[in-house]
Amino acid sequence: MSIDLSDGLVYGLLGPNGAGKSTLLYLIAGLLTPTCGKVELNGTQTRLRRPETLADIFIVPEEFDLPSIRLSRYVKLNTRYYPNFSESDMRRHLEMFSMDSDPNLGRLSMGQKKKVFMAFALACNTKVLLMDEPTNGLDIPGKSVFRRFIASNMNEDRTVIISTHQVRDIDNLLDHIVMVDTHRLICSAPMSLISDRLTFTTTSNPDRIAQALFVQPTVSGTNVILPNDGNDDTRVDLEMLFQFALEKPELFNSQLGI
Amino acid sequence: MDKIKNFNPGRMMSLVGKIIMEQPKVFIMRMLLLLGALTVGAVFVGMVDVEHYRWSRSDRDWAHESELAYFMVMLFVLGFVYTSMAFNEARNKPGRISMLMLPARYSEKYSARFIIYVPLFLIMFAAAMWIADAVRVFSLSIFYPEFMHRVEFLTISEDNYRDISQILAVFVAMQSFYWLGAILWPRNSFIKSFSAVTLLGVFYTAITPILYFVIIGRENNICRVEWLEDLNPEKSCIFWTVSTVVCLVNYTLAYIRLKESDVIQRLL
Amino acid sequence: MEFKENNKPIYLQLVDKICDDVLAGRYGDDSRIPSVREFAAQVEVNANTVMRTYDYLQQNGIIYNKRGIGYFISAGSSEFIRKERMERFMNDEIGELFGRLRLLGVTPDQLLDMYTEYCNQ
Repeated sequence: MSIDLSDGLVYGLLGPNGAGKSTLLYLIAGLLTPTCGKVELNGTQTRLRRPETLADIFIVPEEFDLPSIRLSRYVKLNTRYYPNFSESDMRRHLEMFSMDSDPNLGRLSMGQKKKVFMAFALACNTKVLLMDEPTNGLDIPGKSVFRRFIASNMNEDRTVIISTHQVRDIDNLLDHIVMVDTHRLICSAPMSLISDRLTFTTTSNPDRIAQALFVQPTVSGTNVILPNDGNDDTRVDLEMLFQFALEKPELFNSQLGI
Repeated sequence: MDKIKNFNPGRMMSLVGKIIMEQPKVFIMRMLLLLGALTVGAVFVGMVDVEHYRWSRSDRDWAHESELAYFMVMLFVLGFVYTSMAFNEARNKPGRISMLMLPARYSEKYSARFIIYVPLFLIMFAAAMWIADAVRVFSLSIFYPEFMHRVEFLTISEDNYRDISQILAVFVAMQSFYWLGAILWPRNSFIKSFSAVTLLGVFYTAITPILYFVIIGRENNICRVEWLEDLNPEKSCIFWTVSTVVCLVNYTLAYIRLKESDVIQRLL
Repeated sequence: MEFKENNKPIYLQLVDKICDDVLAGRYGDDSRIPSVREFAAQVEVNANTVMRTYDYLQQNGIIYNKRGIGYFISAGSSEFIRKERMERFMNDEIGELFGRLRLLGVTPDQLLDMYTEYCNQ
């Protein structure tokens, strides 16, 4: 597979558990060496882990450790490596998460650690931000704050890649979808293209069902994916899209023209 | 930009600071353990020595030999234990991720830890020896004030210094194996851990008698290793040459291992 | 913001939300609405999607952009939105309603009585 990631967009890396999302994220970050092909950021392979490349990438893994020191000391010890770090940004992010400005990192719960670390991550203002299952461990209000957090901190220079199996937590944040399953790429397309070319709806009309590209019978009618004839702009149902791309890849690709 | 791309001594030193300051308690405990172990042993040796003199009026200066021997044993024991913890944070996935993703050159990440676990450790050890010895003298002056005429501080004399130099050469060479071992974080975790523990056991059991014979045994004719008897500058040179070669090989292997490390062992 | 499970794309649901706010009097003529990023954060949606919403509103004359300052509600938007919704209601929803009323056998007089009683409550 070959993908180009552009600036200013939020990418969703979606797929079930064990699908290879973390593996792909690690490959992008340079934490894994590709067995064939290459991953490049600004022309440099990430697997080389050059400091100038690393200073442009920040990964928030699913599990991470924070030393048992105060946040202020953590900042002093770690920001030297990220030239674009902004203290005021971090304060703003912490406020958004309703966190103390200088907590003792050793005494925080897992959810709180996540919030602090994400605040720090975004404050480093790296070109690329990778997040592995960021909403795991956040309660419902926390997920809402997370969405607000990402939505208000998008900018044209930053590329954000969010990997998750909880599609509903972030589906409104995404510009572009990358779907993987069993370590294979299933689809990669911008949301705008998907909603331009495909219509998602529920119907009992047999004609419509006959015309459908993909059907999913349910109790309340049949969920269908139809070609968008220009009149039917609808929301994209990512779960159904995933099934469609998985089961009928050629039809899927030809419909999207990719 | 060049300051970011190239080897940056400032960044390396701040990495040294970061490693220590992020786990201050760990390093403080290690220093206290070192100091405690040396002090307890030194005071013990001092008291044994005085008691021995008190009852047998022997002229032997146990202190210098036994204390020094004890210190050297502790150097090996604690040195190996501490060195094998040099890359502890890389033993789990989150730790490996943050270590590998830190924007610094491999050489800086490597050297920062090397500085802490080799030269800095030796300096700390020397300081601890000095303090432990001073505590010995001080405590003897309290408990056996009448015998103070024969209590002296430990000094590095003409005889001692070549011995110590040899021992240091051996230590640094053996330590480089533990340094290499520290970087070999698990691929086949069980086998590595098992063999490491076995090796450690062998070393600890073997090293004590060897050192004892070399330092003390010589005088008592307990075990005479002829070649080690007439230590002269040439033999010293050989020790140091062999040691240097061993170190260079291990340090290079360790650096290569660091560079080729990935975050997980993929099953593909 | 809670998005309805209906099939309208998010950017159009956001258009509706802003129009609702205008009709409710939250934004008067020539008053400033939140910037793209502020609104994106409020509704927890991708800023590019909000951009599409604002473009749509601009194209339909409901808002205008003052470079460097922000987006503002055009004069007369409230009326415009009301008229447009009435038209949509008449074309789409009324037709459907009338169809169902006829199926149920409701006469025009019965309908008038029912609505009069409703308005008197």
